[in-house]
Amino acid sequence: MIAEIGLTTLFAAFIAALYAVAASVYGGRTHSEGWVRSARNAALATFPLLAISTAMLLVGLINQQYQISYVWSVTDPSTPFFYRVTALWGAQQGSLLFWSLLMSLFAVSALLLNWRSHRRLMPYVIAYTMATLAFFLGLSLFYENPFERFWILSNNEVVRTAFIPANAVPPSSVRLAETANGLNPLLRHFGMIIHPPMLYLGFVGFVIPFAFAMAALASGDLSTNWINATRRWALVAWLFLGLGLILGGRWAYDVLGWGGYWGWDPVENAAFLPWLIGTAFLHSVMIQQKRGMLKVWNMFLVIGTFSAVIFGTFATRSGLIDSVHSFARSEIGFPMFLFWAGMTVVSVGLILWRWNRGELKDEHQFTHVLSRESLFVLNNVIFVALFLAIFWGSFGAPIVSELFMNTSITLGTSYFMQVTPPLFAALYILMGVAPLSAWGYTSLSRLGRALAVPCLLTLAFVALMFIGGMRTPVALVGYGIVGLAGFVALYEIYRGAAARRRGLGETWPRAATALFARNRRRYGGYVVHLGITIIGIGVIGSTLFQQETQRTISLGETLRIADYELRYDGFTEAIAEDGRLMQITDVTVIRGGQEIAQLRPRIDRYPQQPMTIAGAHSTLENDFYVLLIGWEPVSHTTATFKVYINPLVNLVWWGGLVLILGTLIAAWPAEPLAIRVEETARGRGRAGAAA
Amino acid sequence: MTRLIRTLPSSPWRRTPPLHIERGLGGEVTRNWIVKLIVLILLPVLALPAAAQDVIITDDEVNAVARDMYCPVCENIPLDVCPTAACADWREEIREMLASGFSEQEVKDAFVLRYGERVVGTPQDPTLRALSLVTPWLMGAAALVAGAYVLLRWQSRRPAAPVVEAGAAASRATDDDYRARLEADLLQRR
Repeated sequence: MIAEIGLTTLFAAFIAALYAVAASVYGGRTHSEGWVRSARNAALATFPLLAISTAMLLVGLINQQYQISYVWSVTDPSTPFFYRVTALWGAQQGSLLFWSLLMSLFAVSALLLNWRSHRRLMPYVIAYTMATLAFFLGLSLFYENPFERFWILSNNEVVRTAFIPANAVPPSSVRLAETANGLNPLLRHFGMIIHPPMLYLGFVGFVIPFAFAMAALASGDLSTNWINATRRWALVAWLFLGLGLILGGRWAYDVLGWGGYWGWDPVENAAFLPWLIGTAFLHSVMIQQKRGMLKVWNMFLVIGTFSAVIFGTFATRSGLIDSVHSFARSEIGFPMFLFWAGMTVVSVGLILWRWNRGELKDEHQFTHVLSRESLFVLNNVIFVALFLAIFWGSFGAPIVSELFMNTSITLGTSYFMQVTPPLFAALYILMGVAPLSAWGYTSLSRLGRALAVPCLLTLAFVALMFIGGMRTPVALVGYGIVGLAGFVALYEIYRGAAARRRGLGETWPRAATALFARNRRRYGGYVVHLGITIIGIGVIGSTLFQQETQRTISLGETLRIADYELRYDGFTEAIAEDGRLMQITDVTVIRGGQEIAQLRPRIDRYPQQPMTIAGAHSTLENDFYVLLIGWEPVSHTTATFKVYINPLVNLVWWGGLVLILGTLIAAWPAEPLAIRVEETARGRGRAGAAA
Repeated sequence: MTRLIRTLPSSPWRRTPPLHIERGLGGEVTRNWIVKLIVLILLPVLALPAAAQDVIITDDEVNAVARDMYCPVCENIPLDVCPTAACADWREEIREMLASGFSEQEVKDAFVLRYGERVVGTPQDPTLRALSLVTPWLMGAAALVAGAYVLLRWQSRRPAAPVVEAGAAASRATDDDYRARLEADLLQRR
């Protein structure tokens, strides 16, 4: 019954989405309010229908309904309750359904929140969001059905179908339970609770700005309406995508045993690419809002972002590129490729059509090369260059060499470390300079004056590092560039608060709060820049100064790395509740003769594959990170460890948190708060003046 | 100038004169690939374990080479951190090769010869390497040219009247709304 309900509601959602597309397009073209409302209702209906469908699959997972082939493939009787829930996105069919549910949630929220304010765009917003949703639901129904069940036919053949074949009987539930696969071991980690949902939210979230942009092109409402409607949606999607990337990094650090958080793996890069273009869009969109410029470019960026989302999904799920992250390969590659190509061609065609008609002309003229808009254009150019370089390394070069030179190649970390650092450095420099420039025109002398204090602070920062013993030129330059961006953000916040304090007599905390409340976008942006700065410091430290060694040592013996020692204390084996064999070593970390931590690096052996679980002693200064590589099989008298010292690596996670905080500030709809703070401030100011 | 590589009596990787790498004045490397291929084909037959008896190659030295290599089976996981048995075997093979005097580059060349370009993080073939490494810079340059074109196009559309530096007050006026409002507040208080 569970499968039947799930399948029926999934099919009903598919039909509702298709109907919404047809009704909204017809209603939009004929200006028929009734049809548009009907389309809206059908679109709204997709969410409860998909929620029921997803709930049915979840019930199947929790209740161990192994006749449902998806449940059989991602869980087994030993799978804990928690991982039964997360198994919902543990393989292709479930993750596609979950993806559709989230997309429907975004679409429904956008319709409800923007229905009155952007009425003219709505028919086309419905059409684009529902067409995308219908495509993914079609994949679920016709290619990767999560409700397929096992059946035994009369000739004893076991088949997997969504509908009951004639004269078929279900297999023995005991036999199914005995043979169930269990969840991919790589997915059994706390990071996997929220990493995939965050990434999916980020991915599907970009469907809203894309749909609004397409609606603007289709309806002819090419003002900044679509941007005003979608800026917050874009920020939310960008936030989730960023959060997903950071959590993914943490997962890789804890589970993959690479000793690092970013391996330039094609699927990691596939998620990073839309983030890059989305970031360019979030900056570029300000030029259109402030100056009415870059209309065509912004359209291209928003299409590029969503196109990168679909391409990344296609690359991950089609098996186009081998990756440790490709959990869900199947035959959906071709339809996804067609959808991606079709969607991109139609979108670009629409832009060119409007452009040709002269409807995307800039409203203002450019005034000077030295202005905030030109620096933002430069920022966009660098983001695009970074996008192209990473795309080329991850997908372009391997595909081109395979297609035209009949040779498979892999571009590894060395490629990305050659190509990307100069571009990241340029972005950090712009992050420091651009906020100090004015719209329209900034003279060099004014820019120089504005930069003086942050530059002095940066010089002092670098000098302190030099005095502290750092002699690596690349690191000093890198920290200088990254530091400048951070000091500019801090200095701007300080200047704003100081102005309020001087003018209104506010205390520092109140002045700072009021500052953020009155211009969340600007100061939220500075906090985001601070987060990126902190991440940059962490990345430079953990990349340039990472130390590693691998050695085999006997029981009681120590190995030395930097000013640390690692002592091998013992070896134990244990069976976990889920049946995996855990081979655990006890080690002691010693620094300056003092024992500072006891760690238990281990290897977990699942039927599918072994997992290397690191032991880590984390401080703000660094991570002492140990991997168990091997041991003497019988006596365990010797064991081989790989030890990393990862300086400042924790700043990557802390910077991520600051980035999230900044994005929340920038996206928070807090007009009433701003007004309240403002009124309070005015009241205090008057009272102060009266006194 | 010829650099002679040490020979290891007990090693199956022991160098014979044709295997020596000869470096010309320009640093150009010539290799006897046919002989090397024969050695590589015979590799499984030869008693590898004997190789490492004389020269001890540490795990760190092996990992330094393996870091930029990938086995064709494991999915984009660098060889130095891949936990599978197949990759452990490869690392042992690298150890033997290093012990017998192969340089890092020669080890990579040998693996590429056997398994193709995919096993290394940067293609060894000059054409593929150039294609891989030069293309992103060309694309970056193209993006920069496009950006410059946009700015120049904008500038050429600039109104004829000279743009006077607006000074602090006017510049602030074109700055963000908040700053303008803040300045207004401050002026009021004065």
